[in-house]
Amino acid sequence: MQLGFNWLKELVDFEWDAAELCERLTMAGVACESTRPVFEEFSGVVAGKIKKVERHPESENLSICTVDIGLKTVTTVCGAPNAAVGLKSSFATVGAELPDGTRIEPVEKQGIKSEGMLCSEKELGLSDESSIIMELEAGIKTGSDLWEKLDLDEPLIEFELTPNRPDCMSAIGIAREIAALAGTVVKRPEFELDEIEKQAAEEVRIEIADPQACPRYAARIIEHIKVARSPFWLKRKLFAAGIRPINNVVDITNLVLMEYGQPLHAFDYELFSMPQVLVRTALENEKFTTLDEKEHTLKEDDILITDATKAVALGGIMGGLNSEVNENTNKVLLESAYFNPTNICRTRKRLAIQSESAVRFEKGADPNIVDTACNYAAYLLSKLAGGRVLNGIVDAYPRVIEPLSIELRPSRVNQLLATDITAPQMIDILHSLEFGIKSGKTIMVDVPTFRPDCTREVDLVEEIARIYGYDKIGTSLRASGDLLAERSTEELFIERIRENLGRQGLYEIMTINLIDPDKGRKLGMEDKFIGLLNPLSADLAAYRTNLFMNMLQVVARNLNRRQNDLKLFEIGNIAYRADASHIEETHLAIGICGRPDVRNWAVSEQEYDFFDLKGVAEEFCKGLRLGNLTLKEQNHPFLERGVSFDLYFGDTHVGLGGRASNNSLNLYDIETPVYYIELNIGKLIPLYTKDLVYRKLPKFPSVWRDIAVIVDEGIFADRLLQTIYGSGNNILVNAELFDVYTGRQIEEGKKSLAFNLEFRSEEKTLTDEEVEPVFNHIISQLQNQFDAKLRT
Amino acid sequence: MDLKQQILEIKENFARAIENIKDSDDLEQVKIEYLGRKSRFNQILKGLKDLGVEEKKEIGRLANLAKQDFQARLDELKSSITASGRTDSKFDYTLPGKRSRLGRTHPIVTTMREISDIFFGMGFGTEIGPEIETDYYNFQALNMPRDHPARDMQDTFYISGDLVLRTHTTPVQVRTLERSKPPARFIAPGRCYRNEAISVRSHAAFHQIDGFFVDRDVSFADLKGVLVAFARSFFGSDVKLKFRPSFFPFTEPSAEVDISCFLCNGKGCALCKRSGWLEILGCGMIDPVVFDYVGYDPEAFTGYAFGIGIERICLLKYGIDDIRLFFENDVRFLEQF
Repeated sequence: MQLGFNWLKELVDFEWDAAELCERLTMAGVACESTRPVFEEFSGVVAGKIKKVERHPESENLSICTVDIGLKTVTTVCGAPNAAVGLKSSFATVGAELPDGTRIEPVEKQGIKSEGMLCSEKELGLSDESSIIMELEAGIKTGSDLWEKLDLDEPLIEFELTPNRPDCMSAIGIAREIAALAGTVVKRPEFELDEIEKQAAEEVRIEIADPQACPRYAARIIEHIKVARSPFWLKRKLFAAGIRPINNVVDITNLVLMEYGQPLHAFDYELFSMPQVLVRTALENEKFTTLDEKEHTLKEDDILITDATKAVALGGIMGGLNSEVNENTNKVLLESAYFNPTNICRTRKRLAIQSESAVRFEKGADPNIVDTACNYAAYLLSKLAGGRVLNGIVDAYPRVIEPLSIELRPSRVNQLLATDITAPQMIDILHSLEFGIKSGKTIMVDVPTFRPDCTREVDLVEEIARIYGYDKIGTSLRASGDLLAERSTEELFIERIRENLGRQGLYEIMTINLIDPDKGRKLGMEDKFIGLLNPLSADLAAYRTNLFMNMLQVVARNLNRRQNDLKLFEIGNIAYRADASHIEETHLAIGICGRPDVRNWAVSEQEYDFFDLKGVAEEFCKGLRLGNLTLKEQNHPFLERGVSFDLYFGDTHVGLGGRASNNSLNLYDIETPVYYIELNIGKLIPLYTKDLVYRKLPKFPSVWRDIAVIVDEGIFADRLLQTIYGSGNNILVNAELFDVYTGRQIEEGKKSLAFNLEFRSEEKTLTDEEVEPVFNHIISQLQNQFDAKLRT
Repeated sequence: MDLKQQILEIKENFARAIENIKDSDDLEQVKIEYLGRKSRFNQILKGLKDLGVEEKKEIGRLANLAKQDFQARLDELKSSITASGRTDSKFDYTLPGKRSRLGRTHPIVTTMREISDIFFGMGFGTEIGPEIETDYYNFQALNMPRDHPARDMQDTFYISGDLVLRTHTTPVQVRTLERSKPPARFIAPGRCYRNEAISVRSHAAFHQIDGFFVDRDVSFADLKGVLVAFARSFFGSDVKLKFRPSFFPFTEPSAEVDISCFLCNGKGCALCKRSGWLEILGCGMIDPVVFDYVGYDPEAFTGYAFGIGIERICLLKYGIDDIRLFFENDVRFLEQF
């Protein structure tokens, strides 16, 4: 919402400039700022009276006007149809500067001298009206400077209102806040309505079929209306409020809307088939065309205003095309009503209609301003549109909505705020906001009906706090000793994971949990996707069931940007459908691709391979004391057959890993192998112990022996290691595979594996004599079991 | 030529010779030529015996002074040659070092951890909740029934009529209060979603840390106190805070908190859009409606709650101008943190 500063000045006394006003309102919960003026500045424009209008000799559409501009009389060429003798208009003199930067110079058009320009409102930046020159009130002195005279130097105030404050969606509502802060009162418009004898009640009967949906419906009838342009003072208020002026009838309803916050609607009375208003809810699938020429299909929640034969408006939201005020309208039925917020909210959301009216009714208008607003609009129609107001307001209000009464306990206020505000201070604050107070043994507060947000004592606490000033409330810090916090195992574990992988040189990535489920299906993933009903795009249409697609996406993006050293991990949530419900889990993904940054002279250029990934995983398990990770061959559709595993700790299945399949890589246009592991963190946590127990350092020295054997290529290293450990007779403490070799000197189909064996006793220093038999036993076991040949 | 003249000439030659020294080989050469056994000085000194006593004394003194001077200047030069790198060694220690690349933590995670640590120090435990949340916890129990205007503030991704991607981490507050008893003091960090087009300024996924404290006699002053302590710890001890009344359906009274801009110290700059203030979080006293839902007596217990948007703080703190960078994971971005 936006309003001109001057309108607020009219409604309430205060001494602040726009900046200070905004600061004070903002600090009281009505967020606003003033960063620009209502009108862009212009200069050199004066009130000019047209003395003579002559037809231009060369052009039919132009006329030559002689204009009295006070000190002198000048001639100008003008194309506006409303240039007429006696009209007082805006005249830009030679040297004038217009808002768009134009500087007025004397010109000669087809032999006619033009010493200045008669301006439209649009040329002066005062409205969108460009087809005619501005029409000034006759009272404005000829030759006076218009910028000064019309007091156009006005700041614009822009509000950012919270949804709980519909009462602030009007000039009077804001003025009420200002009055409370400034210690003054709101000066509401004072008017005396002249009514003709004819009774409105005889011209219209109002019936509300559903008082729940529409608790109040009032109307006035005004005849003899002349639809025309509104005067400048009215247009300028609307212009500042960001509303486009249309004609005097519509403009008046909009002015009252912006002044009182009460939506009004003017119907062309002649377009009613019956002298009657029937407010009812719509029938299922009933059709209605609003005045923006859109046809809507309605439901039973929607409220219709009808003339008993046809619907004429979608109640509280928008009028109908069939009863709209037009230039020939003579007699108007002016509606002022109060609708149930819930009905309006449902209708507006379902039909996706935004209107000033709907927004206010949805958030809660004031049922008890309905008559005043209607009367004021009728008054303005009589003053500005020549209307004659029929006697009486026809007001259907079956059950009057009374102000809510709430008990206020000053002690509770001070307890919640930690303040020592006195009861009289509290009462003053509530009074200043126009709340009623009945003070006896207890303080009872009557909440005005324009404040639907205040329904409980705690809401009054906020009213008191915000006017008292949040900045005056002290600060205290309760000692934390009474409640020591503890970190959960999960929290600590995840921290350890980050630390471990970070130390191993991996970069943490973070991706959105939404993916394209079609892509997932193409990758052969199980169709357990949890789809969104209202996704942003097909790319983000479902919650991910694993972290694989996101990882490939990040890899692809980096490779495209020629970043080829990719060792990445992500910790994030996944979810999938399970039976009638779903399961959400936190997973860890590790992705390795490319090669070490070869731009460093000392770095190996070798591309990362499966064992780089496995090494990270082993160091991860070791660092987090999780035990040994076991790989079991298992095909996963998005991993390459043969390099695709399930991962276990003992019998616990914890995840999967391997090399991304060519199909997966193709889908992301990746040409470099990607190695991938995904672990379910929830499965790892039970395996993790926070507590570390130190292992004593060996007392006695170790003895080392190397052994190299040649075996069939089909024999896997871990089988040899198992045999080695199994034959170590309690003195073999460690065996490391330090070389794998195939090629020259090694027979086809064979490979050479070399191990370093460490022997040690906890009881004494081992001698060669003690190690030798064990070492020989290991050799013979390898020879027996694997037909291994010693390599010499 | 008399000996005095010869000494002067040697001195002049020496001065020229040291100009041309480039490395320690040259230096050694000059040293041999001017101070060595076969140097001209030595020849002069050898010839002294043929002179008279006075002359012997005089020339001897001059020659010795010159020798001392030469020695000192050569010593000086020797150390300067080593220090300025004009050595003869082929060891190129300017080659880049062999680094083991360190990993990096995502800046959002770092920021969350820094904030969490501060609250941990003030006695806040940590609770987390699911990202796929029920309408009940995300909205209803937080005083946002269906058809409530406040739901407009949250553009929600729906999974079904009853399941949503959580729009804030505040549902964790309800879940935690439900299963614990006061006093309860926790933070709830996590990821949230908003059905909003992805742009430079906003993303469909974002992170939040919610915090709350429920006990007897918890007041608005306690809320101010804990947030002032947090802000000073995180942004620096001279930061100022401004509490502006605001609205959240689940707190009453509610406030929006601004801090004085840490870039310009409140003077006004591009970061704070000339206002001198930066909006960083929303907070308030927990609404009695929430207590009703979790079964606490609002007369007996009061509490406060706050919610901090992590991306915003991270953008401000590091001067990042595009929120999408956080989810793009360009390694050139990640390696800066």
